[in-house]
Amino acid sequence: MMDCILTARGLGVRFGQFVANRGIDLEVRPNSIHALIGPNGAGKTTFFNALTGRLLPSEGAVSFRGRDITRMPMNRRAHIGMARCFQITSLFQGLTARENLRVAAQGMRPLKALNFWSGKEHIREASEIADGLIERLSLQKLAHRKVSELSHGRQRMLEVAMSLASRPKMLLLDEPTSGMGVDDIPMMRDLLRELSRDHTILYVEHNMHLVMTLSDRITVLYQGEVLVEGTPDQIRGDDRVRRVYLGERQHAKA
Amino acid sequence: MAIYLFQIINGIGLGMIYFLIAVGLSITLGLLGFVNFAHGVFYLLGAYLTYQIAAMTGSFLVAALVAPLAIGALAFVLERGVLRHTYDMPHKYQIIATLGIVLIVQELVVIGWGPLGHGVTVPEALSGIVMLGGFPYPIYRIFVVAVAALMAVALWLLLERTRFGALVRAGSESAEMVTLLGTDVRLVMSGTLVLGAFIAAVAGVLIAPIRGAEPNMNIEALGIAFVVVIIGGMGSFTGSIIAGILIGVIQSVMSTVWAEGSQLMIYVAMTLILIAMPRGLMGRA
Amino acid sequence: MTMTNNAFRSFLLIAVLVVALPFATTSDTLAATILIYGMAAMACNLLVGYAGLLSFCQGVFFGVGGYAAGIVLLHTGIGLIPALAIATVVSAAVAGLIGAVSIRRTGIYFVMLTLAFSQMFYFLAYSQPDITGGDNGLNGVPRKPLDLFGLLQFGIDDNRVFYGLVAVAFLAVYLLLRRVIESPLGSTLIAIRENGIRAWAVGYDPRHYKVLAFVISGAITGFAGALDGLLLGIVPLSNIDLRMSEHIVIAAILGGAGSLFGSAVGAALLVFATDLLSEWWPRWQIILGVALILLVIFTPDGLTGIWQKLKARLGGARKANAPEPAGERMGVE
Repeated sequence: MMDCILTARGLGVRFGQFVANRGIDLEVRPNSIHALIGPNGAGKTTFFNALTGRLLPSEGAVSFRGRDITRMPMNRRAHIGMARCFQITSLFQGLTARENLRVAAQGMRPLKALNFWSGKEHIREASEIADGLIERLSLQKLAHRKVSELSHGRQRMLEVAMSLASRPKMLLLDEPTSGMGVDDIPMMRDLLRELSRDHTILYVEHNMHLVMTLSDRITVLYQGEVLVEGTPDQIRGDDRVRRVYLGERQHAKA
Repeated sequence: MAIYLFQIINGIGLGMIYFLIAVGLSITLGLLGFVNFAHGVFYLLGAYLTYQIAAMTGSFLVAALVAPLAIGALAFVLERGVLRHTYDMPHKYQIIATLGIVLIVQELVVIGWGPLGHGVTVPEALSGIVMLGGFPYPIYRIFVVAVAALMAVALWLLLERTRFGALVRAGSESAEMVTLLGTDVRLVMSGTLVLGAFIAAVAGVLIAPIRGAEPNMNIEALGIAFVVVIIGGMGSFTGSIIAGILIGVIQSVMSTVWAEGSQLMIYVAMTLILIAMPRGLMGRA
Repeated sequence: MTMTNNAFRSFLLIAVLVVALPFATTSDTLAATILIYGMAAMACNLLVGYAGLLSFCQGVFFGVGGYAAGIVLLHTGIGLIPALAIATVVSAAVAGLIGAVSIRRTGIYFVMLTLAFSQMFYFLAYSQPDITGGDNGLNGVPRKPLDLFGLLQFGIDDNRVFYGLVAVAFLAVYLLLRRVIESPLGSTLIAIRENGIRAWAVGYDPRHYKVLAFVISGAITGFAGALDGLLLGIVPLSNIDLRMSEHIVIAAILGGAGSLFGSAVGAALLVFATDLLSEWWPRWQIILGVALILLVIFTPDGLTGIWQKLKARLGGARKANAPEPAGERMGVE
């Protein structure tokens, strides 16, 4: 418990009468890959948004590296080492790939961004980080293309890269492979595996194969509460999970 | 002391007219997704057509019936002819299109009726005063409150009890919702715009014998409509009534205390309310 | 300050145009008016085109700048340059206040709020005739001589000389705005416009940048308004009314939101048209109304859009395949 990087205690989120999350506990260990799964409507995205500061919890607490961040706004979370990416690709569409990364990197020094006099490359650190990420993701040829011109798979990779620009300790990824074709998914899987060496990763996913092969721990949500938590083997063998998903699979798309 | 009571009652009447101007805007805002600057011209034309028709037929009643219908038809034409083509564009272009409409209408009004305003005489049947607690009160003003209240009730029934009303209410939150309900959004758009224009025109009809018709009244109306929507909340019927009456009363009471500043106080009140209640009066805005 | 070759060429072209303007218009006053509204339009474009903030209260800053300079020049011994400075600072402060309150809301509410503030300040000016002259405007604004720290002094009563002053101001404002756009602030504003939530997620509080954009835009608009007061010798109430705000936005978008020079051209067109056509037909604004509707439906990118299309046609395939430099969608070529 002491060495958990992100914890949630009794987290609940209510929209008027509707209870989206109730009494959720979560512990994410440093440098682990922790998955958050559950059938549709389980409240994963709501919980995720509460963890990342997009939503204010109605009850409970969230802490990061021992610090209470329950009510901390999104931008401050980026500064203390939590970075997130979105399920629906959420890039700066009209900007180039490199510019997206540069702006993201610059976000760590927001005061410097108030500078209206110098050229934007003046903030050298941000440019260097952007160039570094371009290299790391082999995006050199596409760096100066507008992101709206990139393929969906590449956009998802860039989506993850954006969160790296702030040199975070922890990555929170909302369905990183969302909408990706089968050919692109291994690319993402390898990236995540590589990233897990220096980062802690919490991710929401629907792709069960990916979840089972990639994660150290899995938390299953169902109807707004934690159903069970454990290693992939434990989850695979758990009856409750099977029941919950079996019912879901009859209606789900492939 | 009595003068303040008098002004409060005046203010309620004025406020009801403000409510009518604003509610039409309020229900179209959510559906359109952009600010329709041309909304004020329905109010403007309501007043001018009242003047014209009353002058031609000698009957305020005929004017009061015909003008809103004619303006509703005009709104339909405008929606089909101009606005429909802009729905896929960024908001700033849509607003420019409505500004274009405003320019055209304003100039046409001046061409048709000259740059100075025209007075509209209070119809015979509604002229005169009635004594309310020792105060002479113009019958016409009571008529205004009555008509506005009737329209408010009719509108409420339409919004709450009919299918069309349900679609409008859904649409005032988001046009997407309406599409999801499987209806032809365009029909709902036209219908809502026509409805909004009709109500604003009625407001123009009602105000004509009080303030006359003059070429800049759409700008003032727009500002007030915006204030009502800002503090009352977009798409909120109750919010529009409360906000409308509130600023009507503020303006009327202020006109006794500080005439030149009476309109200014509307906006000052808005700013104060916004600071104290960032989510508007109804907590929804 | 380094400029790319392209940027320098653009600037040179603009400078040439500015010098030629009074000869083309045969009226120094008209030429000065064009540049003054050009400044206001460019400043508006910073908010509308780059920051994505559809502000309908630019007229407030224009009017406030005029009133501030006018009052200072009329009632105190303060000289020209300090008066202009005061006008700029006061407008910047008002812009900061209005901006801070208005950006608490986004989208439709934001637009309505700016319009409401526009009305508020109009009625404020109207209700204080002792200060602003009310309906009659602030009359008799003196064109005090230009005094550069006591070293250089010359009168600016001559309209041609005054135009020179306005021309220098215009070029300086253009350069300043170019810098702002290419600065960290500029790129942050553009990013915030593209995706506000993402901006939050990567560490920005968009509100700070939006307010700063308002302050810069307000300062420049107020400065232009002050020059307008000096040009006319009067600050009319209409400088602060909603119609002024609308015209400034129209000028900015007419030229092409996202093109700085384009909005100046848009302003030039508007001023020209008003001057020319209002004599011929007082109701000429009907044509403007129709033009706006046609513009929106056929070439929403305004004059810049038409210009780009023309260039594409003439430049042919070669140019069309060249990669666009990052973040650059505007500029004169």
